[in-house]
Order: sequence, then C-alpha cells, then structure tokens
Amino acid sequence: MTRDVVIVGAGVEGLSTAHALATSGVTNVVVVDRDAIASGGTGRSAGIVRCHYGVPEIAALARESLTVFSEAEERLGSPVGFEQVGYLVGIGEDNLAAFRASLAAQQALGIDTGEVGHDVAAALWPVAELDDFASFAFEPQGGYADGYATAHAFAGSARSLGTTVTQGTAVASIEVRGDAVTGVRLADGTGIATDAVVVAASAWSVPLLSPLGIELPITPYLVQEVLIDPGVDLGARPVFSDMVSKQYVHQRGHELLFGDSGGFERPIPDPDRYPTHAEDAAIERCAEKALHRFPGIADPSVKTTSTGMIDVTPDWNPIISATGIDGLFVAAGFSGHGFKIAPAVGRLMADIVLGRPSSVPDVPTETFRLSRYDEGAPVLSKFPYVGASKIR
Amino acid sequence: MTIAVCVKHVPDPADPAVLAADLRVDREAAAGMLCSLDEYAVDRAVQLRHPGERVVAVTMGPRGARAAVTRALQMGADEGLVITDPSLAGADAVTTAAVLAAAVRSLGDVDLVLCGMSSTDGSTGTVPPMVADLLGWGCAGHAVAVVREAGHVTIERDDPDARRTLVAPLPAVVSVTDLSGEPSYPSFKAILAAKRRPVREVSLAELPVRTSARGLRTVAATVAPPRAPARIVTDVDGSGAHALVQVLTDRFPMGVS
Repeated sequence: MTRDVVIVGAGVEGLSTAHALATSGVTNVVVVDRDAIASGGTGRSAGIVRCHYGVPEIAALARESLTVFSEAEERLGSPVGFEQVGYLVGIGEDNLAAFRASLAAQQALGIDTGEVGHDVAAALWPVAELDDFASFAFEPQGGYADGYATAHAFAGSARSLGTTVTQGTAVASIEVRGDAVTGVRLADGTGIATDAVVVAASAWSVPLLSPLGIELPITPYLVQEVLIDPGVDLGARPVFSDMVSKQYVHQRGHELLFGDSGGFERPIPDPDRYPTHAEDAAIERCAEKALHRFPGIADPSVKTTSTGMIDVTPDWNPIISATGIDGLFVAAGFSGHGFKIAPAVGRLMADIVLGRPSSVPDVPTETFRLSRYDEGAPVLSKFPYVGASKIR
Repeated sequence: MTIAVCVKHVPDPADPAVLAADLRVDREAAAGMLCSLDEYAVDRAVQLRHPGERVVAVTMGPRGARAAVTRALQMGADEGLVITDPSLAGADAVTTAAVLAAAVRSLGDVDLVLCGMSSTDGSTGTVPPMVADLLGWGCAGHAVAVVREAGHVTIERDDPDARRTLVAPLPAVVSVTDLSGEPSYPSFKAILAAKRRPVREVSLAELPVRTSARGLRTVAATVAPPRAPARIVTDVDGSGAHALVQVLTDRFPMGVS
C-alpha cells in the first residue's frame, strides 16, 4: 500500500493535521493509532479553550483555533462539546505588570480579552474569595470543549474527504533510506510505503524517532486533577485560572474540575504507567486551595479524580517541525496545552508537510522547529508570571 | 466504646499487577488504595458511631498501607492503627486474622468490628470469620444492612434463597457487602481534618500475639494469555443487527434465559 502521508497518532493533533491535509486536497492519507481515536492525552484533556498566552505565536494558534471550536458544526460537520462560558483569569500584585503587558500583546493580535475589575469577577464567580487578586482579565469567547468529541469531529470530517483512520495498529518503525523516509512498518509486520510521515504520538514519539538518530527532548509527566461535587447548583460559570493559588477550575456537568498549576507535575519514567487516580498529596493540596478560593461553596467533596500523562519539552512548548530526515515531521511535545491550539496546529503542520508558507496568521512555520533546542533559542513567554507553570 | 474497622491497602485493580521475584504482587511497585470493598465498612462504622464513641481504622501491611488508614480517616474514622513488621511480609489470611484480632483486643473497649466482605486482591473473604473466632465473638457476614442496638447487632443478608435477618450479641464481627449503601466521598473539610487525627504505627512485638508469616506460599504464577481479538460485525446498510443476532445465537444455541 502506498500513501501520500502517514500520520502516526490519532489524537487531536494528528487528526487535525489529517483534516488540514484533506481540505488541501491531500486525501491519500492514513492516520494510524496503536489504540483508538483520542485514547491518549486527547481524551483526558480538561479541554480548556482560551487565548491568554505570553508566547504570541501560541496566542495566535489559540485565536485561530477558537474560530474552529465556535463553528465546529459548520466546519467539521459535528459538535465538539464547546461550552462558551468565557474564561476568567485572576492575577496577583506580583505579576500585575507582566499581566497587563501580556493583555496588550494579546489585544494587538486581535484577541477578544480585556482587564476587568473585582465587581465583574465577583458577578462571574459569586462563590469565590477574590480579595487576594490584584486584577482580572476576561475572554468572553473562551470556555471548554470535549477532547474526545473534537478528535472524532476531525476524524469524521477527514474521512468524509477520503482520509483513512486505522485504529488498533501500532507502528513498529519508520523506514528510511539514505536521508529520506520510505515508509512505516507496522507491528503486524506489514508496511505502508510513503515519502511523508508525521509523528504526532505524544511521548510515544520518542522511541519511534530515536532509532533514526533523532532524540526528541520530550519527557512524560504525570498530571492529576480532582473533580469535586460542590453540593449546590452554581449555574454556568466561566473557566477560572487562579494565578494566585495556582489552580484552574471549570465546570463539567454538575461537577467542578480542579487542576493544579503550581508546578506539581512530575516526570515519570514510562508514559504508559502512572496512577489511575490522584495521590493523597494532590487531593489535600486541592482541598486547601479550593476551600480558600471558594468559601461560598459550603461543603465541597471529592467526586472522583483523574490522571493523565503530558509530553513535556524543555520550554514547555510544542515541536511542530520538519526533521533532519527528508519527509519526516513531528507534532509532539505539547506539554499539557495542546488541545486549545490543535485546530490551528493541524494547519501549520500541513503547511510544513506541503512545503508552503504558513497559513496561520502571526505564526511562521519555523516557530516551533525542533532545532531550536540545539540553537539555544527556546520559545518562552515574553511576559512570564512568577511562580506559575510555564504554559502561559 | 470503640468500633474497629479492619481495612486493607490493595493494589489498584485498574493497574496491571507486577509480580515480584517470589511471585507475590509487588506491593511497593503498585499504586495502592484503600480496598474499595472496605470503604463500605468504614462508611457503616462512621454511621453506627454514637456520640462520644470512636471509630478506629486498623490495618496490617507494609509502610505504604498507612494510606488506606488515611483514607478511612478522611471518610470519618477518628483514629488509625497500622501494624507493620518486616516479619509479616507475605502473611496469609490466617496470620492476618491473628494479627487483626490481637490489634482489636489491644484497643480495649471494642463493641463492634466491621470488615469489608472480601479484599479485592486476595479475595478470600475468610478474614472476618477468623477474626471473630479468635476473639471468641459471633460473626454476621455479608450484611446489606446493619442496625446496632444495646447489646446486639442485627443484620440483613441477601442469600440466594432468602433474605435473612440475623442477630448477634455484642461484641461481634460484621462484614458488609457493596450493597450496604454507597460510601460518601470525603468532603474537602474532612480531608484536611484527617491530617490532624492520630495514627499509631506498631510492630508485631507490641501486640499480644504469637504468629509468623509462614503460611501459604506461591509456587507458580503465570500471566493470563491475551484474549483473542474481538470479532467485529460490520454494518452494511442495516445488515449489522441480523449479523449480530446470528453471532449471539451461534454462541448461545439454547437461547438466553
């Protein structure tokens, strides 16, 4: 079998890439996944959609992607569970200057965001204690979507254009002759001939590329989240990034999902082996932060917890790049914030594969090149926040 | 008065089991948790506690087993007791029961011992009656409902042929099933309060018991072979339902009652 492009990994990044290729007329494409659509990080994503980033190119990817989330049914033919409840971010005094500079940069990119006062924030989150924030910003178009539904929407749309998605098929190796890709070998011994392979397999990309002499600087990290039962109906509330207590909160049905952004993610040796539920220390941390921040919720309790693996790079930003091998491309290392940018990442990756200039405004194709780590040119926030995780 | 609840720290059943060199589950490698069947016992104990009484969560296991007691405290237990001793590594159900019975005795004023119906790892279900026997108390097992009154405890049990009501004089040992009422999830306030509750860690020498871990020994363990690939029925213009019925009738030729 011969394909124009083989994409390894049926997560949201790989499927978005397949979709972008298909809409460019490249449909002799197969997406192969060792398990199933969205079975890795995508299906476990908190699904937060927002544009508040200090890296302008990430902010621009999020801005472009927002349009796709908002218009998913028209653009992809099926809904992605997007709840456009808005995105509120609260900042402390120590980060106020960087915060305002970042907001100005986001507005210059055309992002619908703006500083709001305590009165507006209190109306958005009446049960929250807000006195320890210096200021807030609100993105009315933010919210959260469903990772699983989003991946399936991209898959469905790409399939309708002719792309094939093959699940339960592991790629054993990428075949190279000289300096060029010739195909992939599957675990069942069969092969697919191609001169273009996109590896979009999160931390599992590393062992696929290392036999080719490409060492991806990606480390699997464990992330833990706690879903709480507030015990009361809170109404629809915006996603809340709390940059003082370092946590993010959003509603999922009647539950509230709490994640920690205080840098407690920790590396794990094996991306396939991690606890299936949050550890006691993580739950206690969440309890302390939640009780402080939400005194208006009288007696919150743990409903359940969830864990996941994120693929972290040295600068906590993705690799969306060609490699030293002709026809071999990488979209991996999303470092826990790949979901909200995935629709635009697919376009950028397709542009790189097809060797054309970027079609994503404000995001040059070379921005997330793999070689930046060797060049000592990491992609970092222009407006870093003290004490916050690096995905801002 | 004290209600003792015996709990076990077990490997998370969602994780693949890792066998150590001696063919036992490597409990250091596995992510552990309070046995889910014991959660019912903890919850019942907390609900049966009268004002002024205490619920003590008791466990025997390696150091990490303390996490099971921590969880019980979060669920409302007042105190914890962890019996941990290198000589107990690999203890079987007989040894476990002897140690737990001694631990219960050491608490003094125990009126009721609650247990889950079984562990989710060893799954023998034999510890509660053995603890009762060693204490010389009655055992009412597999309760779906428990009522504690002065001097006796009444349980309801769903047997295959009938629902039975059993009465045992106190003190007694009661094991409860997963039909005895869903345990409530700990509230955040309870989680933080649990950090302040006392947990005592004791070695075997500190208990009035003479036992050793030399019981059952695993002599062979094999990993179950992978299941055959699933048969996928492909629907072509509505043919799927018929094909699926065919698969089921082939599989169950006598029909499914």
